[in-house]
Amino acid sequence: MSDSPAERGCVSAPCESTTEDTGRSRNPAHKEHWRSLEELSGATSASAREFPGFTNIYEGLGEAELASEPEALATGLSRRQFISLSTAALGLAAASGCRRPDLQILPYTHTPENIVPGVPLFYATAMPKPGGCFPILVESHDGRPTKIEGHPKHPASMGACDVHTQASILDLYSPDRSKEVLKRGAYGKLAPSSWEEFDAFAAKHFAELKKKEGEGLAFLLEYNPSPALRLLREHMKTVFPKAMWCVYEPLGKANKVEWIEFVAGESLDVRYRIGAAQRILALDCDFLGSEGNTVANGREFVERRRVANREPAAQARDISRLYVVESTYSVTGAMADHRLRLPAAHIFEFLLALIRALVERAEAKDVPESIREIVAGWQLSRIEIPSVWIDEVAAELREFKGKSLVIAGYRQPPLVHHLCSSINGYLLGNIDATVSYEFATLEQSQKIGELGRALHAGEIKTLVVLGGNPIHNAPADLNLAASIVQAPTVIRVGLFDDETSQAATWHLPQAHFLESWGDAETADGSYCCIQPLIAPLHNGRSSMELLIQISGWDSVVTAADARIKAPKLVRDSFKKRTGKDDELTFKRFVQEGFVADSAGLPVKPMEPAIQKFHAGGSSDLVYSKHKLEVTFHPSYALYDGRFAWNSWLMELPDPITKLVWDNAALISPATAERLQIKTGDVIEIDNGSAKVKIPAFILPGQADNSIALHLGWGKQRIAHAGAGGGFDVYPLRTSNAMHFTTAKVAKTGEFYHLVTTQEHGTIPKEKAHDIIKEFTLDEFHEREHAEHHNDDPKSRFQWGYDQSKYRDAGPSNADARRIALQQAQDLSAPQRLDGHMQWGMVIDLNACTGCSACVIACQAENNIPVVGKHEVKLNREMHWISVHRYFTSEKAYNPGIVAQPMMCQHCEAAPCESVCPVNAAVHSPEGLNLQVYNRCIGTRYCSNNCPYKARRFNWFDFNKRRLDELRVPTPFSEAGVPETLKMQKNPDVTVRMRGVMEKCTYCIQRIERGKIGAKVAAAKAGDDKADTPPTSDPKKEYAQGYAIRVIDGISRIIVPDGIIKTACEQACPTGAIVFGNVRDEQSRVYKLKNLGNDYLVLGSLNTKPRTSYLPRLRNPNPKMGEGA
Amino acid sequence: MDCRYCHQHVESSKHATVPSTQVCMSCHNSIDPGKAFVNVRNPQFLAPVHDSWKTNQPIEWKRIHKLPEYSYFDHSVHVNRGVSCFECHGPINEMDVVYHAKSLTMGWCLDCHHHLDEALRPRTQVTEPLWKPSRGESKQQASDDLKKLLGVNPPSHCGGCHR
Repeated sequence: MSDSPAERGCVSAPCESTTEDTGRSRNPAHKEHWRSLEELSGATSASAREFPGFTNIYEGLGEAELASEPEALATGLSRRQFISLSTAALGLAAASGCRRPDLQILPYTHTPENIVPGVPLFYATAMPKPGGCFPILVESHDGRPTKIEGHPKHPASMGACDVHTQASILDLYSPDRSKEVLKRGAYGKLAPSSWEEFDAFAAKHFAELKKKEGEGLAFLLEYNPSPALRLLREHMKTVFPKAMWCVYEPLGKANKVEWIEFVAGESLDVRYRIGAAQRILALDCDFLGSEGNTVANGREFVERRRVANREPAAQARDISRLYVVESTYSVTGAMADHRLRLPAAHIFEFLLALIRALVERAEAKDVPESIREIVAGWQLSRIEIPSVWIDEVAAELREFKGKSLVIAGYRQPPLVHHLCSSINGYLLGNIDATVSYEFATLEQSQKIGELGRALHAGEIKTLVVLGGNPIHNAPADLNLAASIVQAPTVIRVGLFDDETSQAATWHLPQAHFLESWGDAETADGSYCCIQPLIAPLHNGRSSMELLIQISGWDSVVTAADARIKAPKLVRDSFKKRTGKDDELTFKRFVQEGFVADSAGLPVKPMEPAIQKFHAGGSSDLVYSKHKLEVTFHPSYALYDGRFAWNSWLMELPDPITKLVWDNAALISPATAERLQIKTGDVIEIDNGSAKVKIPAFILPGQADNSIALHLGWGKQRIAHAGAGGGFDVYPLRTSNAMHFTTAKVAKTGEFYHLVTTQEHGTIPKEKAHDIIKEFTLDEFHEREHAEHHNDDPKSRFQWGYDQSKYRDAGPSNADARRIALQQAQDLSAPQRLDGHMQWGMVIDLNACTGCSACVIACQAENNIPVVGKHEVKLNREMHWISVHRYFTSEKAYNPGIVAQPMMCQHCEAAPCESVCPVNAAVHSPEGLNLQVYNRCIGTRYCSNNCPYKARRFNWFDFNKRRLDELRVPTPFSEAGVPETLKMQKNPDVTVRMRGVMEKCTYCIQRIERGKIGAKVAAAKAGDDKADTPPTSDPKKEYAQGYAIRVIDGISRIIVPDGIIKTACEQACPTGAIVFGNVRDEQSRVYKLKNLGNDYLVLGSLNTKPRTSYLPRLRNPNPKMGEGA
Repeated sequence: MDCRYCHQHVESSKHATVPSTQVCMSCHNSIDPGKAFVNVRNPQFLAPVHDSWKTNQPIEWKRIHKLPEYSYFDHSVHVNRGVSCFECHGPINEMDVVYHAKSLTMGWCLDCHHHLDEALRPRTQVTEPLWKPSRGESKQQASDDLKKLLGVNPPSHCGGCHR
């Protein structure tokens, strides 16, 4: 079964079978897994990548640029000059520093409360986001926030977090942050000014505006669901009654809200209970990747997909089945059981066909004749949709009435949302089961179109822009850049000096959310506190402070007053929101970060009547050879562009394309072939009003005749980053086509180097069946209960697997003798794994959505540098954990996707250790594969010998040098990386230097922190028991569950399971990563490793990895036929 | 005077912590020279403390004991498991000016981690310079007993200190 009828809607449908028949096995047990189209066609050889990052030896001299490299960095030094200069530099270096440096310790003069130097503190706060805030816990070392975690107690997070939340800490320390007040001065140029000057100006200016009741004044804000801001708004209405208040987000739920207002006449918000749904149909909705609260959605979705805790008989029904209809490949599409590629504009007609099928199947009493007539009258002829996709999906949805869910994404027009709601409510009875409606707390605000018109007409004299970047991301047809000059005064508060700042008359540096007071509501309306963790680094002010100042809230006059009054505003807002006014409750709110059970309560909406809808006209989008559909999507890395200064996110491989540092026009293999486009060819997209040039990227699974563009990219904004930065596609986005449109596409003949990591760390293809395992439910059971584990390499482990064999033969105390340093001849002997804690990890591919939160979490925790586009191209990215994306099945036009997090596997028989000439790669008695940085001399033998390609080499001083100076000889380079970036570093992890190898450590600093904590707690609790002899009595528990037990004849401290969490495990929204002690039979990791389906990647190599994987489960509908 | 009067976080933090001026001033609180608690032999000796108190600028303590950046030593776990201050810092109670008494090299650390010998004492006695085992034991015996009682089993693999 092929889904090619979707393409038959083309006027000139070409032959689409070019990549279809590759003659590979169709046996599902031997599914083909591949990383790129080139690999599928055999164009690249994986063995060529055996030496990751290999390059020529002159590179250090600045001569190593590949001949074809267009972005070559030249130092302009001859080798002779270089040698002479470096010799001189060496001499100078030798002359200084023969003595140990004189170091000082600077303690406080007055001891601050609660601060113990060296012990991190955790503060609860929340990160404001466009869909609602996200509750977080921030780790702070001696006053420096270093790492963001999800709030462990809040239901929206449960300790997990997403990519953007993790990465936002870097924005706080970004060297590109705006640091000073700018004022448009002589010759219309922005020049440095000061807060004092602005304050004097503002006092006079806004006093005059108050007299005029705010006439000619407009505010343009980001969407910020903050009760405190609402309170302030009430005050603003009295002070500036005639002012305009406009809220704009380039991506959002506007369409959903619009239909609800249309149908229900009230502002309602839709909530989905993904966890309650057994059959889900997602229509162009990336609910696991970028829409709504993806963290909670992911957790609920995966909970429904776990096989382990369910009765076998009930599994087929209980385990959810996900149907996805979408134009481009999304993270949600990657988790689908059935995925249909359909241009975004055709979703509407798909839905009409589905409704008709559902109405036909409905019993007579359920659907009145009048509706049957309406539905029968619909004209559905434009697009051919595979009949199973209508018939079988309708049958399943109906069968699972009350437990099914149809979701449409915000890209779809209001009509589609209306129809979805009719299906969920009227036809399937899902209301209150899987869908509910809540009153939306929307402020009355004007649309940006009205502001654009007023600006154009010259009605706005003073515009205050708080956050956001509207000049960049407002609809192109408004042409804000041209009309904003009509306003004589434009005051802009922003974290960065961006396009909007450049158009303003005043630019004011904004305080980061970790530097300011506030409050906010999560997507489901739960009330959270935002508290500052650090004084504003660059003397910025929050939007709220500025509004307090200019409106004179609570009789504030000066800016200093405004800063003091900001927490009072939060306090007042807390009182209004909760009705409680005592100090203690408020303090608890600040401490815990949220008010429990404060989420909005569901309301029953008016039954959305299908009669209200008449199919006026169906989609008139018909694609021709040169007129294709263009869809706009948030970037998984930069979202709408707000993270464009974040180098971690720039270098984060996109979960689907694995592109770094750039975006591209995603195009299907068939369409690309028809247009003669190859990956990297620059195409010109012309929607009639604007033209954009952007390189193409051929993406399997992309709908034919539809091109996906990721928003938020543009010119490179990060200083010193060099190449990359992407292409701005906002000019194609107009008010009447915010989400998809049609455009002419033409090849320009230019070429652009896109860098993708999709082939990095490729494991030889002949071993592919050993890497990814993907089963249906039946295959799952077959393996779970099969008696084939005896031959499995798992059973040959010292610890963790099949312990019955080893339990009695555990190493005795005498055997556990350590190797003394003096006994040099013993250094080659393998380390005895005699620790009572044996660390191991299980990664559940069935839970991994590929969202990559773990990658950024690891980067923040382990001081991992970014290396720049050029180095990534040379296979030198430093991410310790990379999420490999495998396409599965032999169909290049619509493959499945399995994401596999891959990091050091901590092999018990580690190939890296045996080849290290200096013993820098060694094992610990607890089963950790250690890398000793100060021993490493950089031979890179270990990396070459690592079958998993999990080792990373510091080719340059990434942590010391600016990215554009990596190759510049020392005497000519600048002072190095900015101080603020150093503030983010985790003080518990070594910052590695040039020339050493590094890799995943299983977060050894967290392991040691856990162990030390246990030892200290046990010692303190043991004081009063000093006279009792050591015991193995398990009842003798010490504080916090820590205990001393005799194991292998030695009394040892027990750390309870779950106390030690690796950074990736902690961040993972779906709980796909589980870490723990495999020797503890009660631990989660032990139980998972003993499941029959648990497997080792490349287990046949007998490296005995400590990380094992659980296979991906697919739950296809047998009636859909193969390939649907 | 107990070590922990000034190094007050030694039991809870990886750093022993140098006291804030506030702590110094709780004894050396007379800013007027010639009054009590001023070092009579050398009145200028306390000038940095009093300057710090007046100007609210930190005292610049000279750092004597320093391990390399790539080793992660934790005071709390040593002190709580019965390793006394004097094991690493030498006879601090006898020093007029603190000096580097022990080598603090990796081999020296590992010697103790391999053979605890006399290193352990009851947790409550770690700051006591004149401590002797009760019940007439030798220090070696006392140390061995504590090793069993507290489950002291110090790491000697690289990851114990290097991260």
